[in-house]
Amino acid sequence: MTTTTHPDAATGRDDGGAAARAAARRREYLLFLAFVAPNVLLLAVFSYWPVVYNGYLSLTSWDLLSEFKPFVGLANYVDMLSDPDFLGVLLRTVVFSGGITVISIVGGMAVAVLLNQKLVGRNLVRTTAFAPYIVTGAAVGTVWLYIFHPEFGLMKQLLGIVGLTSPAWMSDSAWALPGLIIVYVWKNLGFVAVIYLAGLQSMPADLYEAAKIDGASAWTLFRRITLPLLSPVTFFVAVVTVIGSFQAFDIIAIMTGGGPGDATTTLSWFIYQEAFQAFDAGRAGAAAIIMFVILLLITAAQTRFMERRVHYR
Amino acid sequence: MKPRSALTRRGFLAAAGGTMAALAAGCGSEQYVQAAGSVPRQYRNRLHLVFWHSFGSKPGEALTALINEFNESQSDIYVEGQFQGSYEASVQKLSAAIIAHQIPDLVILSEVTWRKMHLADRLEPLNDYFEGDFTPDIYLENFINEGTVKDTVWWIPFARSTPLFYFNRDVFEKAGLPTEGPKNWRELKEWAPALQEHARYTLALAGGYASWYFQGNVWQWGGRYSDGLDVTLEEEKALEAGQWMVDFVRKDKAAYLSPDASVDFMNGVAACTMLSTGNLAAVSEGAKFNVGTTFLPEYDGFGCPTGGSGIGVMRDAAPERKQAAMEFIRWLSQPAKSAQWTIETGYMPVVKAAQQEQALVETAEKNPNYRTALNQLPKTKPQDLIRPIVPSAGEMMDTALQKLYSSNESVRDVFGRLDKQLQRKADLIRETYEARYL
Amino acid sequence: MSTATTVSTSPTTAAPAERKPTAGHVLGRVVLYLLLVLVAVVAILPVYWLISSSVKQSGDVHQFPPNWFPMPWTWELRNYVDAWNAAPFGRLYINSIVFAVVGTAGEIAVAILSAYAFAFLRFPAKNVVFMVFLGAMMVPGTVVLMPNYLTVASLGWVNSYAGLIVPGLGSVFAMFLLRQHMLTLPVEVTEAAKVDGAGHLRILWSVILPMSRPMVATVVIISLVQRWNEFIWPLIVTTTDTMRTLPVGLLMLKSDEGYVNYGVVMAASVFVVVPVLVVFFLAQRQIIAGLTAGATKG
Repeated sequence: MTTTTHPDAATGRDDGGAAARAAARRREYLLFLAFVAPNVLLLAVFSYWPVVYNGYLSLTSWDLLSEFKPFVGLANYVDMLSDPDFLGVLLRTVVFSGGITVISIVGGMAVAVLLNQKLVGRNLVRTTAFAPYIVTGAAVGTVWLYIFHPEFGLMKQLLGIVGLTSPAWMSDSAWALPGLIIVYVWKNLGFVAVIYLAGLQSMPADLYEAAKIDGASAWTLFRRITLPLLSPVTFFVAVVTVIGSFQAFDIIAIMTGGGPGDATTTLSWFIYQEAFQAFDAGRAGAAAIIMFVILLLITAAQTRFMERRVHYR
Repeated sequence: MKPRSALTRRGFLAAAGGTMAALAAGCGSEQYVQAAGSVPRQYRNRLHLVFWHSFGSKPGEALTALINEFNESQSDIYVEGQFQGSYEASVQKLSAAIIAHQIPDLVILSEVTWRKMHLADRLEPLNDYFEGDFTPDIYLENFINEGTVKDTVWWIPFARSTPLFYFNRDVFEKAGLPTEGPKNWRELKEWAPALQEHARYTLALAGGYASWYFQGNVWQWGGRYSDGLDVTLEEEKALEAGQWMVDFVRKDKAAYLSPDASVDFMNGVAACTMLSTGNLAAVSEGAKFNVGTTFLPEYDGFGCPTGGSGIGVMRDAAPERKQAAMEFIRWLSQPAKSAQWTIETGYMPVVKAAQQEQALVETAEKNPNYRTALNQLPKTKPQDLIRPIVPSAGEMMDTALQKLYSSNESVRDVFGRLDKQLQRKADLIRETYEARYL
Repeated sequence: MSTATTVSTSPTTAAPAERKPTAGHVLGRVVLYLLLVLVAVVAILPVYWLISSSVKQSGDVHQFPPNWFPMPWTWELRNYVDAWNAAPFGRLYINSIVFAVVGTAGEIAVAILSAYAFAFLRFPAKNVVFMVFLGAMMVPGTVVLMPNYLTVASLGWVNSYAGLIVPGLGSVFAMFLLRQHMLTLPVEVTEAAKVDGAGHLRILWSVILPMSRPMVATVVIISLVQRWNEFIWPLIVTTTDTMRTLPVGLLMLKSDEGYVNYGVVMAASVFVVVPVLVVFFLAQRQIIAGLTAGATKG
């Protein structure tokens, strides 16, 4: 993150008093604290404290109702990490999140390139493409359940046009997760496309000119110039989408409830299930900590990876 | 800007301090208060009861009507009904409420969730509240006994149900099949091809509560889910029951996992389905064809579980409110009111004398389907203990059955894993169970 | 992808006007327009489906082949009446509006203060502190439910506006976007103000905020929309219909043992979705401009 416009230099008044400057600086530090205090407090109480509390709960075996919380050390972690069902949940979450992220990025970029062409009505399409992001999860889930209905749904009709039969989507262990990926991609692709579009529109024209004069083909232009120049955008989108899809919950809650079987039980849903259905606060807490750690690692890895590859101007 | 930021900062420091203090004070020593609610002006001088229930749409309207009637019929108590979602959602809310020490006074609890609350010692024992002609005997034995442990009543029947076999009479007629429906599964299997000339599927299988419906199947094949707390899913009979249904889905392609069994049935997608008696009123109204009901099909015998919900009173509520809650329950348990609830919803009449109520008799005449559940009732029994008593057993079993109905996994594998999971959880609560039950 | 082949003719470069459209060029344009239409259709189709189902009679909602264009004379407008009565929608609307407006106002105020601090004030290891803030984004949503419920309950805020609003006031994303924006403002402006003897609050109020209007507008709108659509926290923290918000009311309509009239559920969904869509279409340029500025200046 560049701060070239704000060198944070002292105001440079020549009063010859280092002590006075130090006092001024201390006042500035205090002011900083004062300004960020509300946010810090809110985040501390409502975002970070839950993590700590979950960490504590993960070392117990509490059923949410008894007064007493028996301490079990790392037993929950050991149990879960050696349980093939839980490892399946982790794998499923990676597939789910990875699928959404990759498709959103590739699709979003494609749509952005499309919207970048001088076509009549492209602004209207841009707005329309963004609209799914705005629609509330409860409504999205309801209408897509309907679209996926194996007997009456739109999917059945559309697939029928091409001569295919519709799978049972949300009632089919093999198709429920892909179905959810489709819904989440539908909801997020426009958002991604719009961001990429802005990136494309701030591309420097002279680079292209130079490359074209050198006789580069369109595909080479895209690969060698456009893509690298878009890398900061890709980084931002990747981080936000991965975190978002790991946490995805509301549409899963409405459409499948983690089922059929455990076909759509992602880590986020698993935590909810353990806490609110199985009333096992220990396992829920452990899963929560595992998820938090995974997200931190992924973001750190992405940052490290991108730091080498991202080209800022 | 300045005043506001200072105010919020002070406010939040106070809140944070208060939070830490409250959490540090620990749960055990605090008082329980009544859950949040609101009282209309004209009822302000009455005793306020908060009643959490799980009935929306049609049953919800019927319950609200009953509550309003009660409020208008006397002047000491005001009952406020608050809808909290499904049975499972309601018990989640209740657990959160208990932890937060802000609880309702009485709650609708399903045949599964009441046991959880009972084991956790959160329910009020009700024996001492019965008096005069308000005694446990006014209820049907099956139902009141299910809520009685060690001779103490903990749970009063209210919206009890059993599964029924629903079928599309018109389709059966068109297919040239007997319009009383199938007596056993072998018949249904034979008739499937004929039925599927007029409907896409023969049998819609519900994903939700799949294990409640399947309880009947396990008994019909001569097996059980469990013997007390000992899980018996890996025994031959249980596996055969599972295999038969799986074959009906995969080989005969006659049954399928439906996203919404009642909707599919009402729209003619499936010729038959198994639903609760509590769906009867809604299905009769919503279907555009002649709806038939019959007992659950037999195989090597008959089997049918009970289900639905009843009312529990919270042990930690204030004494005068617990007393008032029982007054309300007494009022609800009048034969006329019990009959009214049955007619509006299709749930069973839990009060013995309700079956003689004129209104109910007439309704049963007009719609014989009401009588089916009643006639089946004497042959039903409470579910094998493992499902109601082990935390989230129902969900785990539903998940396993959904997997079987929607994928290609083998019955032996799925039931085998389920058996081990359930047994492990059962062993964890064995001590508590023995303390409370034996 | 066919779009790639036409990148070179795209006007990101100042291309000279094409002289004579070739057949290939025309075909290319046609394909592009088709794709454009396809994108718009795919995006809007489910929303259209929602609205068109909301006027269908209950029996016709489940019908195959699906009825794409229900004729006006078959419209079952009673669905809207039934939906409005099925839950106290008037109350739900009020609650959603209060939650969205007050919550957003609070969050943005908090975010502005924090963003200003990160952009203009000095502090040791400021970037580390910033990273710690960002870490809060990674706290999984389902994780905070129970602890926050306990916190809220101990403050006596269950089923109240305070309980609904306060836990969501902490701001990371909005603060991030605002800080990015403030960093792009020319430092001379603040220098000038300081020379005039203005304190930081005055600078924030009279100088920075006016210059940040577009970005503030953007985060306000994003925040409003997010609160309007939120349902998992309101679901947990409210116990009566008098405090519930629209998405929760919608969910309650669906969760049931009895028969669900899908036409009514769709109509209820329309109540929830349409106001936001309208606001969005009116303000879309604003939102998109703000978001993209924040993302591309990484």
